[in-house]
Amino acid sequence: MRPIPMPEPMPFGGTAAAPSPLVAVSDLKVQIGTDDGLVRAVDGVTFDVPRGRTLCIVGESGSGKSVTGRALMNLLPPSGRIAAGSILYAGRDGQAVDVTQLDPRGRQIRALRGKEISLISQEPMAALSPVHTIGQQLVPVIRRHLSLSKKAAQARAVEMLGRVGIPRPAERLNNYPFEFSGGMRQRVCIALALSCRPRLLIADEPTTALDVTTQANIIDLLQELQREDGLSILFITHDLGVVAEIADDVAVMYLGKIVERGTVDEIFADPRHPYTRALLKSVPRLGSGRGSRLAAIRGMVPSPFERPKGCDFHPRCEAAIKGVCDSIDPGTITIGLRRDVRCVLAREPAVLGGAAHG
Amino acid sequence: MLRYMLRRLVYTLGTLAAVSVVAFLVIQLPPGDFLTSFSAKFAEQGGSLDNDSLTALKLRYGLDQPWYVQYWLWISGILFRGDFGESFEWNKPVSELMWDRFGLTVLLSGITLVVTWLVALPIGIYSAVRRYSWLDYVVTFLGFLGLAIPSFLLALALMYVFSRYFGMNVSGLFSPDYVNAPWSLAKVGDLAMHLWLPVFVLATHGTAALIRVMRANLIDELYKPYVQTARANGLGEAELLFKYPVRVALNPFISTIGWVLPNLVSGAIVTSVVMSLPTAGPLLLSALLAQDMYLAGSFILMLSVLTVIGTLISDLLLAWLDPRVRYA
Amino acid sequence: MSDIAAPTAPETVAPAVRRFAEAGQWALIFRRFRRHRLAYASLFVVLGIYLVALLAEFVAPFSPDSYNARFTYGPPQTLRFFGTDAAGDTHFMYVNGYRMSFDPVALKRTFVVDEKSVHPVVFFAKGEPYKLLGLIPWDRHLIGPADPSQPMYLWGADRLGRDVLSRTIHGARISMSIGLVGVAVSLFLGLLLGGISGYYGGWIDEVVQRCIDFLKSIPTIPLWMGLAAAVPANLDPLLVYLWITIILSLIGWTDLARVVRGRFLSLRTEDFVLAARLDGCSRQRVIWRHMVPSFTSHIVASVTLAIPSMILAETALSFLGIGLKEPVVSWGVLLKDAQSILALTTAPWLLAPGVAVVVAVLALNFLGDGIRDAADPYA
Repeated sequence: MRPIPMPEPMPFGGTAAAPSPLVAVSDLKVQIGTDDGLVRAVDGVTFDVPRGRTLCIVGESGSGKSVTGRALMNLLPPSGRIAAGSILYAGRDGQAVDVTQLDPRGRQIRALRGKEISLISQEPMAALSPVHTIGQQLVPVIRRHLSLSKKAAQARAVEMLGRVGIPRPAERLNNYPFEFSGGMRQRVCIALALSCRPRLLIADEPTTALDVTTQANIIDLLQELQREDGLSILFITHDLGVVAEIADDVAVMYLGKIVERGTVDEIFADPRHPYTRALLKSVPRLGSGRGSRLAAIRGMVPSPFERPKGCDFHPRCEAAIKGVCDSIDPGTITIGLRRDVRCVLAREPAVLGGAAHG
Repeated sequence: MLRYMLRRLVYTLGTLAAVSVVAFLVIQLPPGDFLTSFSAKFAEQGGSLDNDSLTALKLRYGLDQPWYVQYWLWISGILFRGDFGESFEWNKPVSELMWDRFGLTVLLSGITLVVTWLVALPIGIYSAVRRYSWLDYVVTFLGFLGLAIPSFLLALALMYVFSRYFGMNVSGLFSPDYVNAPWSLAKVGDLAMHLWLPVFVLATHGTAALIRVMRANLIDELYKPYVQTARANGLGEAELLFKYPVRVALNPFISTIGWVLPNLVSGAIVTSVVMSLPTAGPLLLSALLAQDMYLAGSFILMLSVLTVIGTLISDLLLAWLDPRVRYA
Repeated sequence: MSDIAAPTAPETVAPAVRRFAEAGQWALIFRRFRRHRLAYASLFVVLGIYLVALLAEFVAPFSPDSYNARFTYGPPQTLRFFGTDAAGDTHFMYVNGYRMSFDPVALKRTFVVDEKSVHPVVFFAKGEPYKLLGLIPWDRHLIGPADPSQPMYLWGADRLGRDVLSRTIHGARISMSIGLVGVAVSLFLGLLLGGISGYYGGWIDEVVQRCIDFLKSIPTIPLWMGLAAAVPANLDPLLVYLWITIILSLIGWTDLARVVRGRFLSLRTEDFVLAARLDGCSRQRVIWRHMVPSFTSHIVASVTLAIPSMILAETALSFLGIGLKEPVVSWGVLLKDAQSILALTTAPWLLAPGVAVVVAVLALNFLGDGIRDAADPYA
């Protein structure tokens, strides 16, 4: 494999000297074949996953956020393929690897999966094999990636289970997944994902299937682990409440494109894209007064086969301009460091009026 | 686990008791009582029964008593003395006639079951993993065909082909030299030479069914999140396939013994009649046609016991393999 | 979606509207069904077979019992087109006659196709009179020799010189209908017991389930054999037919009961059933108006898949000589003639009814699979 030099660090620093990103995705396109034709599930997204921070990808179902996450491990369904773009992963030795160029079944990508980049998924109930004990599923992964003896691997597994807050971890190693509750099972999944000290964790809606208290516990756990290990997290969710809690940076996706990108403060305080605003308005919040109604985004997500002309969002957009939005694709407009918006009105927040909190 | 095993065992005992009642009912079903047919048969052969032996028989089978007494006499004879009653067609105790043939039935069914599995498992896995490949289509079509051809028809067709084009007589399980020979290595070898065709005929139906079961189960499993998890942890495709989805899909596959075995035993009877195999089939048929009810009932009982015990074994196997069953 | 909408449609809704809602469900299923090309084609094969069975007298060139001892084990004749007979007339369809020779070594009669003799074959041939559908007297047959006295054995002749093709066509009537009647009885038992089991649950469910387990663990053929052997030999053929059907259904209901129970159990907790119950609908009404319509499609699929196993069972029993017997004509009875290897080597065409069995079973299996997939794409 040809080593690819990492892109230069960004010229303008943030708070400190801006570290180079762990993963740099540029113009990624993923196509998925279905019975009815080819779907452009991810349609040219560009973003960075910074080191030691959390990037949230927010979007409705079908926005391509999960596919984006899986593409980072080159782990697409059999009918899917990466059509264009690059995903540069900065290796521990300073060399970058373009994940898109690796054979999705090959040795190199498999050495990354679980070792460097880990995944926890939405359904803790189904993410573990029902007929193997936790130990039978944890230990081989640890042995494979860390080249440990069986005994050492077992010790590591017990240690990990303890770290994710499973009581009596040594005993629980011999339990089957169905002997754990949903929240405990997600903890096991996290232990499995982090057992080989990966540098990037892709968390695909890890809390969606859990009740609210468990949800909060899992998020606390992830933040704690992140602090201790300097882990980068790519957190995929549709829940803006969760985003506010965990994100450092946010990317909002709509129909396979990132429509707005920025830090969590920027997105919540100064959303520029009408879609982001609409999303924020549809979240119920305390103290908003009894009389105020919860806003819903009008219309439905269009079928991926009938993408609207012009801006993808214009049929549902309250600020759509006739003759402009229905004919011109706005393209990505950069309005700050790691801050860009896909809307012709991006530079004119005042025109739209009515901030999100209003 | 122990509790599960105990519960299964109790169920099995209950089923066995019910099976024996059914077998007994079959004995009782034909019109006319056993004794009348017996003496009629005896008279036909030129002999006549004196009153003493008639009374002895009456006493032995409890013929002037209510049916449950008769049932008890019958079943206790089997359980405690291995006495299955008398075949008046052959004028011999049933147990003398039955065990050889029953043994060969067990052998034939057992081998067929193993062959069915050995063939169906890899093909089913292949079909699921390479879904919609041309081989999958071929297998699927052959599977449907295998389910649609009655085993006796397949046996007839094969017998015709072998005798017409190869001049071979493929019926029976032994060459003429060995039919009445005592068991020896040569006889076992001869048996093996004759066994493959009946096994092929019998295995067709079950294999076709099991390929479909395995394929469907595995397709269900292949896209489950735990497979993704394993993949996301860097496991290779082949390793992953056999360690996780195949392993999980194996469980419903094993529980199919419960219905494959009864089907197999059923198929073996018809096929044996066609291919004149010295198994339970032809003797059971002739016993039924001659209303030789103790012989027929004993066969029905033992064949049912065979499948019930087979099912028990598959249940225990399943519990051993699947923790969800074990701990339920 | 609509399958939930249909049963919950309130009573006040006009019948026409309700019909529309229900049609919506079936139209959806039919649309999905048509995408399975094999299953869709099988539907026509199955309908065709039943049509042939219904009009057997017309479709078959001869009656099943008409025989001609001169043509014992006559081999199949090939239907040929455009031939000239001795008189110089050209015929659209014809068969060649037989020439018989006697093999002095084997002491056997052998048939040789006589290329020179041409017997014209016509559509709507005049032949033996019969009553179509048992009502309309007629004497035309779909296809037959122009001269009724001439032989035409397209599938060969049997031991008595009867036409195997005609007998197979007539056999379809018994073989295909025994599947239907048997399934009807099974369906009744399955719906009743499965419904009771699934609806009430508890110990009733436990008892029914144990019964099913028990019946399924017995090898069917020996049991059927035992029961069938008890059918008195001198019974009227029609009664024997009924007996055999009932015996087959005694086992057949178990699968249907399982399906019904499973659906009942999952439906019991559905919101629309709960809603109907809270509305104060009677138990009967909840079952028949609300629950049954929502799993009819599953039942249709299971029934379609149960018919072939009935056909196979009848064939096997009759073949063994303990099911239906001569003079009844069914595929199993016909195949009984092919039982000995001797008969088979002289007249392999006696296996032809087996082809009919395989085609019918195959088509029904494809059809049932297609319906099941269409009824529930997630099953």
